[in-house]
Amino acid sequence: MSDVRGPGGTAVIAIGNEYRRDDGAAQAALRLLLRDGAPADRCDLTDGESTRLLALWRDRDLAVVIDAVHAHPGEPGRIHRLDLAQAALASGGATTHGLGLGEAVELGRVLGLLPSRLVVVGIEGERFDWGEQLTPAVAAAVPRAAALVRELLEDERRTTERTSGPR
Amino acid sequence: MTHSSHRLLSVGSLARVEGEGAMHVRIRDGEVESVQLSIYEPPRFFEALLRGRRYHEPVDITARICGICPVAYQMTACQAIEDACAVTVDGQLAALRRLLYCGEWIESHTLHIYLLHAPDFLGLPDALTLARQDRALVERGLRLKQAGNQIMEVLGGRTIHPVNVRLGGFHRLPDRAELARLSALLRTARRDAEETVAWTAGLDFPDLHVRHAALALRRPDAYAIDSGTPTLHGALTAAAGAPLAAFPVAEFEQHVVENQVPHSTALQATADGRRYLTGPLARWRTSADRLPRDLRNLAAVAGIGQSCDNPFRSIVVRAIEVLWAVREAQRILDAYEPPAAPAVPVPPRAGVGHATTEAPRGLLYHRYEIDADGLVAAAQIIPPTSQNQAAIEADLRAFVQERLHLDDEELTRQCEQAIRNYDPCISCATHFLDLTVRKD
Repeated sequence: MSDVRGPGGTAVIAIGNEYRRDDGAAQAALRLLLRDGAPADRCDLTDGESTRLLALWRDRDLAVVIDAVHAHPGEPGRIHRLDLAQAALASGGATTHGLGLGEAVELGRVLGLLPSRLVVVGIEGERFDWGEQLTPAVAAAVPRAAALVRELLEDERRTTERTSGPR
Repeated sequence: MTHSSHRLLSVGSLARVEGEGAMHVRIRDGEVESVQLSIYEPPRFFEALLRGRRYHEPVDITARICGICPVAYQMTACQAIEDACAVTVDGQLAALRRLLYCGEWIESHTLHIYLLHAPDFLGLPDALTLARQDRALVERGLRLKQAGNQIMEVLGGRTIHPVNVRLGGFHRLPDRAELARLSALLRTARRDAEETVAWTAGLDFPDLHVRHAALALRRPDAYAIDSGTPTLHGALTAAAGAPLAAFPVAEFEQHVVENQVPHSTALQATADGRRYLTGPLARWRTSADRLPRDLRNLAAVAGIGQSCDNPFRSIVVRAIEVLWAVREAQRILDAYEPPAAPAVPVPPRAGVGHATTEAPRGLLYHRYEIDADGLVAAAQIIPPTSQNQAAIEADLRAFVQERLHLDDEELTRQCEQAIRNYDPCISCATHFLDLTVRKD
């Protein structure tokens, strides 16, 4: 896909639109991670367009995607963790960018462009209309989502150090 | 096939378009009674959001209107506010801006050609099926698109919502190594773009001819992308003759008038009272003669003459525009000399500024009024999709009328393909597929 190959390591990819209320949850989580020094080799904010996702996560040892999600019945603020490198994400499924992320995962599988490990951290949203404020339940969930992402990255770092020494 | 006297096709959310939209077609006694394209578009929200902000902020805020064409919004906002502040950015800084815009054209057009529109022409449900069937084809598309991505990352700081653009130029200039990397990518991209033109030329195109007026920018010296004179032609066909009007950007709102329609949050526009198209076919009508001769020859071989009035063939025009953008990017890189500074000063002053540029989907207009304190007093944004909306609805009406013999499923599928001809950028971040077909 590209002449510029990813170097392995870890990537955090936040998907969302800060002007669509709870759709900005991932960006808020990414902001927390960056403020506290995210232990990732690369952090990006994107809109969920599938080919951009492929470019961001290809060749990574671990990619963590943070996204706002819908669930039925819903519980705003609930956090979901999905391991996707092996399992399929149903089209039009959980994520608010459903077809984009779902298609990206399946395109990546067909084209050999998935990372070694792909984890989606989904934050259930409540409102996705135009506006800049997260709803209270989602705002409260953002630190928990950031903590889960940090935990995933730390686990990966420890695993890498066990197998090949400190990076 | 349905022979009931009343028939209603309703696509609750259009797939493979950028953002949210819905389509409703009502048929009564064998005649298309109404076609409505409902678009939920954000510029109205952003115009309100911009009021009271510092004059340099719209450049970053308007980039969030669209994930696919943020550069179009940034370039137009920059030029409009610089116009208000009586500053002109030229020379190598303007060339770098044009390079960035080429990157967006390559990325956006290639995404549309390969992943959004190609499955329609090949009778496939989606890009995933296409990838399974022809992996090399999709890989070529992704490789070509990545060249555009890389231009945006080097010049814009990242591939979406660039952060390196500012009034007067850039926060940081690219270094030699970064530009050398882009040059290497573009050599491969040029070959991929040439193959893309040849491939799109071989597709089968449904027969449809439209009679809309065409509005696009024109420059005397080049194919217009980042500047030019708004030029209105009476039809897409060259036989229609000279333009009806060519007017200064500052007079744009005297010619282009937006109207509210009840079924859409996007306004619909007319130019001098005419329904019109903007985008690739309008650009082709307006500026094809500004392209290098060998590109025009290539287009002729691909079945595109001096004018093209079949929206299904817009995929070929997009492919030619991608090839042009790759070559233009190469030309800019070959001629590049680092400017003295990454940006020129743009001190605020009270005034009104206007700008138009050619977003991948068509003409984009911004107007800003800046007050004496350097705050935005008013903002006006006219995006291409709302300008095209009335023409899309009219085309769908004619398109459906000729295809009433199809069953609902096939007719709906073909209508969606017809809508995708215009690559509508119904900017937002969410869409949910909810297709329903109802019969009265």
